[in-house]
Amino acid sequence: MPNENQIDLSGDGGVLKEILREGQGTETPHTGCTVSLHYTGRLVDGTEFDSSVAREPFEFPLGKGNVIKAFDMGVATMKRGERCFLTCAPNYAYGAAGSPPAIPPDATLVFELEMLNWKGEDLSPNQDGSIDRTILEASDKKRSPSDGAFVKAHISGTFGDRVFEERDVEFDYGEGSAIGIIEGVEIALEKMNIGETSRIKIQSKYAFGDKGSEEFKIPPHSAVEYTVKLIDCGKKLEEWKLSDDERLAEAKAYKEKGTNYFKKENWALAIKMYNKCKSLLPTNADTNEEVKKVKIATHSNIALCHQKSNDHFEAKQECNAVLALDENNVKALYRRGQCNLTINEFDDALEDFQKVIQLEPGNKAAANQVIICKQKIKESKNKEKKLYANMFTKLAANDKEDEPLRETDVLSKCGEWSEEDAKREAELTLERDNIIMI
Amino acid sequence: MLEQEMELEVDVEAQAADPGEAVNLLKLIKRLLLEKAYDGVRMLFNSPQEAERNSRHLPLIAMDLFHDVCAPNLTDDVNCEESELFDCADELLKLLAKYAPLQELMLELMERVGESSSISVFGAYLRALQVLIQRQGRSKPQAVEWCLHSVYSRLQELPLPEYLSEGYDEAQAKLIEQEEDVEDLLAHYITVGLFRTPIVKEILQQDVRPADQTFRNCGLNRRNIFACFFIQLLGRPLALLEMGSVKEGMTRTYVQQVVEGFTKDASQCLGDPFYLLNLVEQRARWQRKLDASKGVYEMSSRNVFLIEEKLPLHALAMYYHSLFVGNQLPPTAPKIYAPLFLFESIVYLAEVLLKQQEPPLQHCGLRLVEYLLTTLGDPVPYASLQLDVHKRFFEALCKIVGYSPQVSLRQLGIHVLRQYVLAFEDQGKYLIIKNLLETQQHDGLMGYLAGMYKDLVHEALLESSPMPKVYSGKMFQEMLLLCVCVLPQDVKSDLLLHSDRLCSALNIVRYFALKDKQDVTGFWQALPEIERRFLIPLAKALDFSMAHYKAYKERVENGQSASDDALMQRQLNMLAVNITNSGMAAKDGDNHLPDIGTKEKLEVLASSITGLESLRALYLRANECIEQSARQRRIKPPISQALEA
Repeated sequence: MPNENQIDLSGDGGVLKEILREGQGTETPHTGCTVSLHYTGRLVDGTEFDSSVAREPFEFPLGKGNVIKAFDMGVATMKRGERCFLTCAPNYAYGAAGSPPAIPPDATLVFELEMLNWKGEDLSPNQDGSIDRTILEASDKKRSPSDGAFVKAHISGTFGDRVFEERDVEFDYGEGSAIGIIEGVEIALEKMNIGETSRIKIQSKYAFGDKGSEEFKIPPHSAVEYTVKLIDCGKKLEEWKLSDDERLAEAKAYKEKGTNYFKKENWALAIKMYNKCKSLLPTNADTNEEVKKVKIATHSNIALCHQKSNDHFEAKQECNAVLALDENNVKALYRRGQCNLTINEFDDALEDFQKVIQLEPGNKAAANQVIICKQKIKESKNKEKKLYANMFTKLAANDKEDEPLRETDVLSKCGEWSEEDAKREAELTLERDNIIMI
Repeated sequence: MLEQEMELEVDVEAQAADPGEAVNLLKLIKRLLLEKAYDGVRMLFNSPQEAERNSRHLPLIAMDLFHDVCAPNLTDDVNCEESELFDCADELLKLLAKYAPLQELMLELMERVGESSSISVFGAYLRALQVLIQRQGRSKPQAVEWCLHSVYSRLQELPLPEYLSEGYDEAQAKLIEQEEDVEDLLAHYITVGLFRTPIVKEILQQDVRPADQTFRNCGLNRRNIFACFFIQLLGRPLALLEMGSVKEGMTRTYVQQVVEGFTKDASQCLGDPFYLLNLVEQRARWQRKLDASKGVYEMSSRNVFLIEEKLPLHALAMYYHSLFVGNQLPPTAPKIYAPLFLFESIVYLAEVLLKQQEPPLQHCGLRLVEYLLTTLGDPVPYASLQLDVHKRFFEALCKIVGYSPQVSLRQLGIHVLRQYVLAFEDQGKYLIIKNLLETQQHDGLMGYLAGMYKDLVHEALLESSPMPKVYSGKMFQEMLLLCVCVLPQDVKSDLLLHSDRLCSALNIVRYFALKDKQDVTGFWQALPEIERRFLIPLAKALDFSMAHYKAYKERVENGQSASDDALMQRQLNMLAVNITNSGMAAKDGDNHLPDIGTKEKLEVLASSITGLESLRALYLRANECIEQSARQRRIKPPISQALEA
């Protein structure tokens, strides 16, 4: 039975708290917070079995079952600076088994606690505080969303005191951006359990970044806060269990998804889906024509997405992957040619387009590109010529400025270059280079 | 700061020194070495008057001394042919490490530790590195980390006998330390032990969390780096030596001593040895998504304990193996962690170990879980099975139990499997067994699991009233009909291939027919369906198989068996699987056994027919029990009917 100074935290007298020193303010830690405190544990006869006082403070994530039940319950009610006694019945501590040798079976434990501080849970990939979670409503379920699995949640975003969006969302995990879910929310969702409600503070790099959001009237570089309730989520695809045919079918489904995002001009998600398709494809592309065909199409589509998002180097890599599988793939050759043209690899581009024409003599687009390539090569050569010529001219001019005027000497010009000489030399250099290239 | 002070100190001394005299000292040392006057060199720095004068010059000539004297003489050849010169160079190196430019010599030593060709050379460089790391203090922890990495890399590159990766038995384990390569490896570890002792002492004195810092700093600092280093050392290759069982009262092997030393140091650096368990789920369950555009790289986490390269999960698992199985928990370890949390976190780590290729690591994974299972007071709640890790753990465990070439591993595995299932609440036990029966392919294992379920129902029959849902009624019938009494390919099933499972199923049918005449479980209600789906097709299959094998035997006897050779080959391959399991496997890819003669063929056929006969005997016995009990049940109506009457 609790005495008048004790508070019954469990409702059945199993966890009793007696405050020794009141804490500051009214705030208490939420589930999921990392709590730092000092404790001393004693048996009812006063035998001390454990204490952190002579050590560094004890830290643990609150409410996740990492410590005995009574500890989780008691600490959750403490304010900063508070000191208290916590009397824990065996069923809230180590039960009938005890924890030999320090804690005998069926032992009631008395803890003296001093709350030092707590902080939110850092969910950011770099642990730099850019995604901070506070669990408002914990759940005893243990399933969380994972890549590709269906997610159903309710989200509510606030900036300052203003709620800028509130809605129910349903999407496949990893594709949240397609329905305007910011990355920070998606990262946090992965670590939430079904039924959990959390408050997520998200720094700008995982929210609306340096552009902000016109729609929600959020300025650039702004941190936002979301309250998210994970209503339901599906199980992830168990890839290792799939047969080759099943893998192919799944891969095709992802390819389809990729194509849908492509049509919506969401290049990033399209690439993500195509990459997923690629990773799902069975490894028998050498022997299975269908797999090979899908693989080629996927690489080719990724290349196009990269082109659309102006990542021409990546696009070129994907074209190379296609050509490794099918060296006469006209689309890949044409795309690689375009990439080469954009990244100023004119000779390579010309080679690609010429091969396209070789394979498809009537391909007008490629013929046009060949003309462009040749023109570009010519322009580039002229540019280089000018560049070198200017360089030598400038150098010569500098030399003239730096050098003090000397008396006219017939021999002084011997062995020195005139401007014309410099030009001629530059041209010769270029010609030499071209000879080497040829 | 400390480093700056040190550098300043060295600079002041360097200023005080006369470059001319310093060069003379260098020349003198070289001449003395040429004259083999090693004691003379020692005297230059040991005698009180000389030491004070000469040490002042060392900052100026330290690197020259290193390049001209120490490095060329710290080799195995010099050590063999002129050990005194080697020792002298060794002593000089340790001395000059106190005065040399810190970063420059550190870089040199990092490289040379990694390349050292023997324990003597390794030891010499490590002694100097120790001095440098102490001089470095708490500043530039990244530099210290690189130094430690070169030490770790060296240990990883040491040659090891192949059998360590392939697994070994208890007798081999006892002799393992006699192996030359293992001895050398342990000597390296012991040297690292000597290297770290004064540094750890210093860390524990200096790197204490200030009173105003409430939370642990998980960033890159000396203390964390050393904690990671010690845990890293517990991983491969040291972990490969830990297949020998740890028994109290036995002599402490070098392996044990080394493991204990590093475990203790890691625990001291961590403070709370369980702290890393809080991060295990984060590490093992969620993969960090790298994203260069947001600066998220492999090594960019501000929490060093989350980076695989700094703290490999398998090594972390070995640390906890040492703490729990090796009984190395410090007395100061917090005693407020929930046993269920410890168990679930350890399952993540054990799964990592079971997935490794090397049997010693798998062995440690099994021992770790075995230990944790003994610490659970209450049954593991059913809800815990929502964690994916249990499923992954069972997959890895069943692979070992069914297919590991190590007998001891298979035996330990099946023991752990049993204990693991039994650790759950009834609903959890049911779900695990059912899932395993539905997903596993190994026939023996399936038979074993079905037997386990029968035992659980048996216990419930004896103890529980009313029967738990999972051991009676619909769930019981589902288990029997869908998972236990199953002929995989109906009448066409290969009875010999599935004999373990079929025997177990027949035994279970026989058991319930005899023991549950009151139909408490619902067995008799399911019986017609069991007969239709299982017993009747089995009878037909038995008749077909028996006739087939007898005819085959006859053809072999008459020399007309060519058309059946494919079947024979299949049976021989089955035999080969058994051989593989017993550790006498032929090399990989050697799937086809050579052709055998008529006599051997007849022997194989005779054993097949015997197998079928025993299965038939079991089948007949089961049927007999069913008929007998059914008769009794007709005479004595079940309790429910009696009550109604």
